[in-house]
Amino acid sequence: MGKDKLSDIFIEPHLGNFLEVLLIIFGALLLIQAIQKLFTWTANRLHGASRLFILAMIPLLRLILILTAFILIVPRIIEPSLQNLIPLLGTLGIALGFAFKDFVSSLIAGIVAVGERPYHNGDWIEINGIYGEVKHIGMRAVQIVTPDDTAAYIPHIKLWTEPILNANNGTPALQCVANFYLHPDHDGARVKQLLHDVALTSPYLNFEIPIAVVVKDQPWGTHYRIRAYPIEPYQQFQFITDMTIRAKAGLKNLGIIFAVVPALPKNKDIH
Amino acid sequence: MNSQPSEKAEKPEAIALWEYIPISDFECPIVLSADVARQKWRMFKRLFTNTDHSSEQIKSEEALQTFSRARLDELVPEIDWHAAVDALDCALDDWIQNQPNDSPVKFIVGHPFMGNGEILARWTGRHSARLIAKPKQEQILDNDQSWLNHWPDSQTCWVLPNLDKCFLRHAEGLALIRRFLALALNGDLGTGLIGCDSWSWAYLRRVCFIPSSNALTLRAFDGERLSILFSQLADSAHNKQPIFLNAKTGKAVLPDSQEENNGASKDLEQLAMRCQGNAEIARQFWRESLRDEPNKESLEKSTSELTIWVGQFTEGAIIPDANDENIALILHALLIHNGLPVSALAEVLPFSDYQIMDLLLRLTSLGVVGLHHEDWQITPMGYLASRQYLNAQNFLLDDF
Repeated sequence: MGKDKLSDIFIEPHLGNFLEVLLIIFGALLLIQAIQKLFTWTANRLHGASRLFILAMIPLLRLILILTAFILIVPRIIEPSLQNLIPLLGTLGIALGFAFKDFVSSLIAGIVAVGERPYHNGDWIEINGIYGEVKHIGMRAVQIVTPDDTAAYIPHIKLWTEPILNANNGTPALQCVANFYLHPDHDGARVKQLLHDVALTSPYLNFEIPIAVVVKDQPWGTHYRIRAYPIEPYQQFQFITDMTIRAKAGLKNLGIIFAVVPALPKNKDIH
Repeated sequence: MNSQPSEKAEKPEAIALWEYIPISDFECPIVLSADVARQKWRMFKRLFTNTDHSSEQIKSEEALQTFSRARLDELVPEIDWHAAVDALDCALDDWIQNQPNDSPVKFIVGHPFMGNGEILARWTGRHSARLIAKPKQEQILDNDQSWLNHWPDSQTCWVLPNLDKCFLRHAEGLALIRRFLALALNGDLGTGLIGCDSWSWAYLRRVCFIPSSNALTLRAFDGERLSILFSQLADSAHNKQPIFLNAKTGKAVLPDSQEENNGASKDLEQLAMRCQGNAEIARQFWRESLRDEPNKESLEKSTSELTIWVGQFTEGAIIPDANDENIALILHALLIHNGLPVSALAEVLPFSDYQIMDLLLRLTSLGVVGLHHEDWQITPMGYLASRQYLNAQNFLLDDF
């Protein structure tokens, strides 16, 4: 009896339906691939907010396409009534829940990621100590490329447990910090002005956001930090390099001595 | 019913070709949405192809030929800045008479290639003022105060025509100009006139305090002003002004005479918009567009009426690689400093001399930059492409 009822859920299979389902799956996959390629290609030829906007559209459009394909496929396999859907989805849920718990959790986190947007394509994020640019937000994992040009695939499941550090959060503004460690005996105001001018004269500087120079005295010397923003997030390393090189030259011209901390053995090695 | 705006029932008042206005009043010629759409479409097409399709000739242009350089110099000679000096005189009349204590200096912000330095030099001669020479590069980097110590006495009006040459975008290249501006704005240097390029102005306003209320600039050249200017230029070499006809439509591009002021043709309005009201850049595009019928030159010279055909305005220089950050950096450095020698470029850019020369040669082959005396500068035909390139990459632009 129960067996008869389960079989009643499904529409009697025939070739036409089967071909239609295949066509929908193939079409959806083709469209997803085309959107991913075209949007990424176009975004890479743009800059700033327009680039980030186009990149952020990709996962949303993919989710819409998948849902559309699912809605089109279901009535071709089962009679789409409430009585039919509840047992089928229940059975499917239990089976997947046991067999692919983490996989399904990642898929759900992927849907949450599209809605909540803790990271977008083009953002610079850090998860579990891995820092890089978000290149692709898949259904299961996010692909980031580190500054060393290494691709890292991090499952969306990390959303539930790990803090996500997003350096620019969907905007072109990404703060860069250049650090300088100086001998404590110097004219602090003069050094602060020099470091401010170093940032102000960098060709990578974004003028829209103010520059800050933060000074902190330490037992071994004085720690200076230039906080400034490059025009584009991907310029962060060139920007920090440019500020560091030019600031070192300027500090040397002023006769400033850099702090040198002697290499000490670790505590456990002393005894 | 309602009166038609296109019908010129009343004779319009004569417009001032050259006029200095407060910088806050500056407005670029209005951009028609159709023209913007056309420009965006061209940019979009360039995303897919690096080739330039602007050289595709329209049918009626196929039979026409370009003029020799000498003939072009006759038809479109260089702009005589004399009238601009008169306009500057007019704008500064009150200030010179009253010399108010709250504004001891006036800034004259020049559009690129619009002869700001020359206009100020001529104004200096006319008013027996003292022309101040720019400091040397070493003086800028060493913050050498002797440049300021040798300032003329405060009784004489002084003119510094190129503030853009008094700084370097370098950590040690700003101290001298900051000191100078502090003294000048405080009135310690007496009454003076300071000329500055629009790009340097945009940068310097972010580096030190400069009140924009003391700044004047030339009014933008709209289609009507361009029409008058080109007519004047053509008139200067001919007893009777040649007839300028659009090669595609056959319609007159310039009025037959300067007295007959029927407003600007659509071609010139579009040119004014594209050039953002910059008369010198528009003049260069105008020169490039003029065409002649083959084997007619000798015949025409003997007749009283000359017909000159105006072809499609070119795109100007094109920078094909839309994503080369190094090109953007060098273009920006050149514009911010109104041209620089290679030695100074090496101070302001994170590249070696070799890389800089390599980039400059690439840009020279594209017609975007050129060597002028010792300074590398953006060319008038490369300016619009450079500005668009920097705009696309979100670099700081001038206000014009």
